[in-house]
Amino acid sequence: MKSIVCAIIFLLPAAAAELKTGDAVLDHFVEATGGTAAYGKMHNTVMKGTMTMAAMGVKGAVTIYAAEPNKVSMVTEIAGVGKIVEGSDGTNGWTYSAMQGPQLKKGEELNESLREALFHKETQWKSIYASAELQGTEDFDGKAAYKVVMTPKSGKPESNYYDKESGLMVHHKSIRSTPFGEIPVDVTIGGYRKDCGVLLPHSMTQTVAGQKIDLEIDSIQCNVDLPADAFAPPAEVKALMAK
Amino acid sequence: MRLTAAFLLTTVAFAATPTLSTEQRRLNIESFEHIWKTVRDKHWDPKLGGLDWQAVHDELLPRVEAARTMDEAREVERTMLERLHQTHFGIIPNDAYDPGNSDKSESVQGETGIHLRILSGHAIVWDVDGESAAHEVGVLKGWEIVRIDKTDIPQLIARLENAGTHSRLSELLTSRAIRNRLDGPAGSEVSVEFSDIAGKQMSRKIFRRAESGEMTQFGFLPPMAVRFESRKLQGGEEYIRFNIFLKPDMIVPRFGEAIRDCGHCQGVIIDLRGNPGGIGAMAMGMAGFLISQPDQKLGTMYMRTLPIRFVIFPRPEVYSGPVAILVDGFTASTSEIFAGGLQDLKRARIFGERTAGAALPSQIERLPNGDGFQYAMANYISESGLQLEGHGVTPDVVVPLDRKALAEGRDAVVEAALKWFQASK
Repeated sequence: MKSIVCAIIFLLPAAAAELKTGDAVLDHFVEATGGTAAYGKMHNTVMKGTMTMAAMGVKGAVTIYAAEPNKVSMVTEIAGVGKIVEGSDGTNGWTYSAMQGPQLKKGEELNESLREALFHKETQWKSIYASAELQGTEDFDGKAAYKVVMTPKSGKPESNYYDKESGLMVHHKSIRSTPFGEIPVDVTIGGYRKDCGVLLPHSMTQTVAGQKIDLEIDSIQCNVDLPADAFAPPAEVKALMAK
Repeated sequence: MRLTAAFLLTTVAFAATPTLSTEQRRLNIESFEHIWKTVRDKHWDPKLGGLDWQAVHDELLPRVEAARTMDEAREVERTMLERLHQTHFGIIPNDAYDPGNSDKSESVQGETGIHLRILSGHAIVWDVDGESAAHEVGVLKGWEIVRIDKTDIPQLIARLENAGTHSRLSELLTSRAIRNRLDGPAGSEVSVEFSDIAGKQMSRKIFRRAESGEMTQFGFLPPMAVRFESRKLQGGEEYIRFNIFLKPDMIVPRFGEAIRDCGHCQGVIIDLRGNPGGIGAMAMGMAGFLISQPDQKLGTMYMRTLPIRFVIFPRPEVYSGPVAILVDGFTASTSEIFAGGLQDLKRARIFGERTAGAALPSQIERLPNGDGFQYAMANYISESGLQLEGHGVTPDVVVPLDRKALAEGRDAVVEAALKWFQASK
């Protein structure tokens, strides 16, 4: 009888140990996606994909350049609208589009931009966040997820949700500071695939002011020769910086 | 024999109102429900101003279920939206998205080049595009349009005005109804009878030409032609006009170049008469060429869940001289946001006639039956606290449409702006 019970126990899937702290959830996420060493081997990435606002019939090509330690540039090109560039060089943050012109970020919006630009956020989050507090579990898409509230060293707390079973980040909620006002942002994250030795999400659905914006990443390359001007602000932004 | 005649009439009746397939009926009902739920869930005012929206649904659902044609189904949907008594709610027929094969000239939308305004119940030629078909056959500003093919235009105006509200918006809708009769497939002919200011009658056959300008399509808006012009006036003032706030990658850079060209000129005239609006964000970006102070805004749009400020981002080079914006009853939406915002900031002086008062931020979705559905998802309040919807922008200097001036080739509104530039020296 005892041997049968043992056999049944062995046949049951091992239940993941309940994580007790936010730090542990974040560490588990790093392990689940490839481990600290794998992240350390990535020095830059180029992501290419498509942004779609299906309800409005708007679609655009997206290219995102990112590099150590804290540089990022996202270029979205929409037919008839032109290029929309958003970037940070680790010190400044900007956006530029033909439609709205150049904008140098400041205050909390700049802080958010600089946090976004940190290349190794997953392993270096303590350099930008004061704390990561585990606030229990919530059901997300029918599956239990850890809710971790990340409090930046400067700025409003953000909530990240990690699937209990896989350890992968599946959801993010925050309130973004923008010149247009404070805007709640809700992001569903998925489509994890292995690129550059790390599991990276290829699918993100953002809900901003009631509008759904889907970002599908088709390709991710890492450790490539980036264009010399990948992180250079557009000329109109430079002109604003010079003022 | 009488039986045969009755049968024939029945056949004719069926031919005139073809029944929809079961699938089309289902899609129309689904579309009706989508429209109803969208308004219920996304209108900025959850109480819809006290309207019993459920009752509207229950009253009209049987009618859409019984609709025998697409037009009947659309009419029910429009009736539902009209109960809101607000602009920027509408149905765009599916075929508006399919301009046809450009190789077939008859399927390309054509125009005469005539722009008209309604003056005391008469359709007056307000402008004629240079190099247009109407220009070539000698149509002149100030002429009255008396008949288009078989349609008597004064009678049509009277009929539409009796059915409408006599508001600025009804003038806009009336002129669109007339414009629809002037427009048609490129290459086709339209016969138009005119009367000049002295009452002399004349007729012209006009072969419509493909719309001038760069074609663009943004989201679920139907394809549209975008035109921009800028030129120096005699005193060196810059005159800028564009027909719509679309295609920002073309309009905004050209607007910027024109402003830069002006340098330290005596004034800039931005002519928004007849401009129906477009992409709201363009107003913010274009105002940045005229406003140097940071953190200024044109106004605020209020969605159900949050307000969004229409912030101006100053450009590196900003024009600081006088700015005159010309408006009329056909200036609507984003144009009103731009004009009203700069008026509130005391950055521009507004000349002409009160604008349409149709300034609700909206978006367009495709319905399950393929039609487009435009709905307002926010109210818009200008920086001075004025709700533009239903009120419009009141000019600082009111210059009514003057047929005599038009007939003499003068533009009384431009003249008023130039006079102000002179006085501000």
